[in-house]
Amino acid sequence: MGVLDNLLFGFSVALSLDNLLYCLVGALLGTVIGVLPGLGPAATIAILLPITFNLPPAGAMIMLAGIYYGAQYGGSTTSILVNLPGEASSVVTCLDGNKMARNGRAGQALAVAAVGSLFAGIVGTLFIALFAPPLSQAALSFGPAEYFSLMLLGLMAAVVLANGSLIKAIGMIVLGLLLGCVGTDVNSGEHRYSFGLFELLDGIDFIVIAMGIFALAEIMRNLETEQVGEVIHQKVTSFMPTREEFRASVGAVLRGTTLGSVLGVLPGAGAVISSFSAYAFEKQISKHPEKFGTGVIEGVAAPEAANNACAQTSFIPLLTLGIPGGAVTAMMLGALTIQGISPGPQVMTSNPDVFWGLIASMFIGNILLVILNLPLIGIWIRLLSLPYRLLFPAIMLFCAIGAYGLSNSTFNLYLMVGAGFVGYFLLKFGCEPAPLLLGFILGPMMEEYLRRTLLMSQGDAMVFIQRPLSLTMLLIAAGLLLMMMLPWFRNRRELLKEDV
Amino acid sequence: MEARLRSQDFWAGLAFILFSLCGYWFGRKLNVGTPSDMGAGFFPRMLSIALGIIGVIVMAKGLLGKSEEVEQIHLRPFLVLVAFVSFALLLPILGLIAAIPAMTVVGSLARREAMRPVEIVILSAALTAFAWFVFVVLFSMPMRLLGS
Repeated sequence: MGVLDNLLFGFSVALSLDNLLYCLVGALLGTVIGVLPGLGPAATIAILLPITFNLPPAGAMIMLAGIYYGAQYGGSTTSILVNLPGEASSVVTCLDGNKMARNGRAGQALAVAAVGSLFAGIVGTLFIALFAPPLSQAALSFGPAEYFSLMLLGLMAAVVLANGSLIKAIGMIVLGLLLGCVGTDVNSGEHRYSFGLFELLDGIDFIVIAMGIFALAEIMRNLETEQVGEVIHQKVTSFMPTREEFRASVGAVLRGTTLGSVLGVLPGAGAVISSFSAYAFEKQISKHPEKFGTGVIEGVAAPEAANNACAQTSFIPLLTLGIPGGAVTAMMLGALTIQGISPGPQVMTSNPDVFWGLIASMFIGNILLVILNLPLIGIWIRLLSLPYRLLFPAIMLFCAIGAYGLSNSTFNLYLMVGAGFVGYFLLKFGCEPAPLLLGFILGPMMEEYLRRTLLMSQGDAMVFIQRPLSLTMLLIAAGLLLMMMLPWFRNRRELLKEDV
Repeated sequence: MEARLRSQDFWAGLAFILFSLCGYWFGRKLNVGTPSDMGAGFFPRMLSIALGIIGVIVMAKGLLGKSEEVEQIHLRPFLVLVAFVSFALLLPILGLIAAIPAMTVVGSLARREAMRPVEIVILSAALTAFAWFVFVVLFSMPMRLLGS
């Protein structure tokens, strides 16, 4: 079977000493930032991206991916032990996970979270291996109109399924698209928004924007509201769940995995929405919904499985279509482009080592993470006691050096400060930052596809609805928008937010 | 009216409108072209107009509808940005040995509670040493520890 051959090839790539090391480093870093509240995968990847430029493409992607799904593992540790989410996607885990810890069942909660995540991760990876090739095949027949509509759909899905005000998120996308116009227009050579500065002729580096709105604005927010959580100091001794716990968690893990896998494929549905939805779903179908919030194991198993499955399958749109689904995959798109790989359906055939090596490394990474998270739990507990005030200067250093190193000039540092300034205010005004980054990274591509489509159709915009695939995608995008305007869906979104 | 001015949507809408005006104004000299032959200014102008419309809608929502209030804006955290600026200013002139401690000191002031001077000194020294070893020695980044 084709998939098996490809997977074997992938393992041959992933099991090379170099790539194993990158996988381990990624998983380790991911766990660390997952455990530490105040630093997220988006900011970390933004900071580490410049370092990966010197790595071979497969290794770079393996490491970055490891950070992303590793953070899902680490985030649960903090949620369970400190009642502070280490990651946004682990917020729901606080609800029952921390209660379990207070009831003396911290070990069981951690074990279920880790093993559930492992199962979900493996299923998610299998999902990619099975569905990515046919999807890529189908996408080969896409023309510029289809790509434009697909990107539009992706952007719409990203805001519809995310938190916060819909219209403001759309505004952020448009702002991101506009910022992406800065630079030299490829077709005409005209300078756009360069203000006479030669540093802007190549456009703004997406890493600068990412660091500014994710890392810098986050540090500022964290310093404003330094939360202190009390760490559960009792020794985490046993991990073994009781029979009832085991049986309850099996179902929850299966359901969470399914939900997470499906949601992850949709551009925009991130780990956050997956974990929220899984928790809400478990509560809905449970025979004892009132027990949720007091320390029910399903309340830990389902969201943790969901967020990890989602983290894996979110690579599908990126690897098969070249469409990022969120801030993290958007940056990986940027990384691939810088490495000289144009993301899209042809990546599977033109760079099979990157494609299959990455998939195989996800299997390995998930296993590594269970080993890292359970037996080494003592280390993470000690890490949790690290106060933020000692941490954030280090984060600042990495941002500063990272921004400087992009072009060995201080110009990007000033740009990053500007982005942080604007980002801080936009956050205060209730605008989500991720859509801006998505729009920024997709902007130049969308413009190009739009231009080509209109060129070929000689200015006729009807072509977008005349071509069946493009029409389908636009209809789905419109449908999603309409859905969000219907009160029934609006209320569910609000309820999900209120639950926490 | 006073409550309205605190609404998030009002300010978000205002920000969008400002950006859209900048986008339109600074792109006014670009060749827009026609849909079948898009010029450099086509996409930016379209986006600026769209952003402006969105901004007006959001601002109207803020003034007329119910929206959450802007949280208190604290000034201290802005010292984080000042810290980065001091790093950027000092690095080319005096090198890492001045830039990193300056950034760390200013950054520490951004914290609500003051940090102990001992901690700040040790942190600065440790971070400078780390940065020099990893980025200059290992990665050969063109930064000087001392001097320009």
